[in-house]
Amino acid sequence: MSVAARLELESLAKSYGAVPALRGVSLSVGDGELVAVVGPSGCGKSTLLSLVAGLEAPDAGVVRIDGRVVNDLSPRERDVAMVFQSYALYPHMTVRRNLAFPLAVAGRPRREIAARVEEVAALLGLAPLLDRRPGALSGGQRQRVALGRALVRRPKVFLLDEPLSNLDAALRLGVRAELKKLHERLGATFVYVTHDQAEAMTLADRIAVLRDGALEQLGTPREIYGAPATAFVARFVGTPPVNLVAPEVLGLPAGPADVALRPEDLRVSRDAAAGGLEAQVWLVEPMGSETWVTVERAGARLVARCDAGFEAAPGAPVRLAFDPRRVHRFDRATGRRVETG
Amino acid sequence: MGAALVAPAGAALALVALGPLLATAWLSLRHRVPVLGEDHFVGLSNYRALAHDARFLGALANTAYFTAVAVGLELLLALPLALALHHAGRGRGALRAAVLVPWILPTVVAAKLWALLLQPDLGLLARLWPDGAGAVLTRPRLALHAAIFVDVWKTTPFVALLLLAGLQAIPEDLARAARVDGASALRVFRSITLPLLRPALLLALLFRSLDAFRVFDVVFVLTEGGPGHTTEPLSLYAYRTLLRAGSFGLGAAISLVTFLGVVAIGLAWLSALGERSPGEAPP
Repeated sequence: MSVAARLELESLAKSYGAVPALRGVSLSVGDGELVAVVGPSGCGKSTLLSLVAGLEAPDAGVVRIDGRVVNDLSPRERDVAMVFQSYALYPHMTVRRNLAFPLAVAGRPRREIAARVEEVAALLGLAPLLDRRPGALSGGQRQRVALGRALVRRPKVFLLDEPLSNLDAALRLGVRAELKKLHERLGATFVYVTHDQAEAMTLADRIAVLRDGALEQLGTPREIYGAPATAFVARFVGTPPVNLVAPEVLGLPAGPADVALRPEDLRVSRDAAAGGLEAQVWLVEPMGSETWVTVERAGARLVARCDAGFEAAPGAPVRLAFDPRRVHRFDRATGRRVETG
Repeated sequence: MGAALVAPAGAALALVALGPLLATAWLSLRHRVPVLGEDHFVGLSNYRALAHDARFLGALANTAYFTAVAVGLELLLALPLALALHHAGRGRGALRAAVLVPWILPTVVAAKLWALLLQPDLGLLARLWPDGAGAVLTRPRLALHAAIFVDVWKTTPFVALLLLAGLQAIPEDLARAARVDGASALRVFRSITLPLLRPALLLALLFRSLDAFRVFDVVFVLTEGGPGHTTEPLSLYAYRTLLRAGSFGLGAAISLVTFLGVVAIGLAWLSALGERSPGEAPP
């Protein structure tokens, strides 16, 4: 029901006083694509959304929607919709009036407003809640109203600022799945900001990793996970986090690069005859479907994802094995990926 | 148990508020002039006398007019001031402190200041318009408006701060969301800010109209109720009847009427406040 648009950001920069929030970020989001912008708090991802929405003006750079430069357009002229982390529902209006607000402001005819509010309410299961006020809704319901208020306008671009972060963990997975289905169904262009790498991995067509206001890597979830461009990206994506250590810890020749190994690529054996590197168990965390085992070796700690049945007491001797082709290398000084022949 | 816990506070209130109130009500039903040694029960005759007392009716009209115009102007001026303070970027703290200066001055000092500026012979206004046009305090209609002006000058900052607190309680994301939803600045103000500011506006109205209806000091210092009794408010008339004329029964009756006026205003605003405020969930 939306007309998708192409969104292009070119060398966007923005500072607050002497503090740079964005330092020249370029990014393009294709028709109907969902790009997740991830990074730790303070990396500039919310600023990025404000600049795209037109709530703030960039110090430098260009925002283009469908090829048209929108830098000087007000939010209302840009035809973008935004879902806020706080939902920002108007507390003095019923759900119906919240949903109708963008259309009422645009001066749409009353009949059209009513029809589109009903349509969106049906799509999101909000019909029974239309005459309630936001104060009387649960967190999940508020989140859907916020989404509905964005949908009702059929905008060219959807901006979502941490839309799931105020939901409890159980609800979050359900809503995450709903969001993915909704995006597939609408075929609209989404920019999805989150600090949760798992959300980004599951939802996004492509992921943009921001760090200190600069783009660290842009790629598909598979690329980001499988071939991280920097040590920062490698550490940011994946649970439990990647093992980033000096090469000697894994028995590799010393060099100017640190090595990183995903926990699923590290095998732990209790069989002393198995061969491999010697280590001691430090911590065992059963997760149900698997067990996370932290081992100590050469003063470093490494995490491995093992079978659910793995059992060992702390201090127990184990052997480590891995496929050297699964090892990533990152220059210790720059943090950049080093490709090995 | 609940009643027992509230009892001490209730007893204290009864002692300091209800007791004097009932004593005043009882006094208002008597003719009592201590200097003449007169003291006897007269029923409602003090009230009947007030109903035909031109000076009392004038004081009632002065008080109502003063309250309506002063409070109205204070809100009209305080709202833009509060919005400006709310959106001021640099120097907001200093600006806020500067705005409060008139309110920090004791009312008597502020009123005396203006009384000197407006003094008919030597004041600043008299010097600017030597032909007598600047002698506002000697002219009945103008004198009451001079008192209103001083009250507005002094109290607008306080109202602005009340409204500023109300504005700061409105989450910033609401205005941002409304702008992304396509609303102009004016529409954001009308559809989001103003409705959500309603509780703060009503609270300011409540505080200020209660205060204004009991006005005494500004008028007493500025005009002493003159010229004639043309600027005399109820509380000043009550004070003079009680303590200058020594007519305790009549003075008590005026006080009680003033009190009832204050109660009526208070109940009106409180019931408006009590209506489901915008942010609240329905029952």
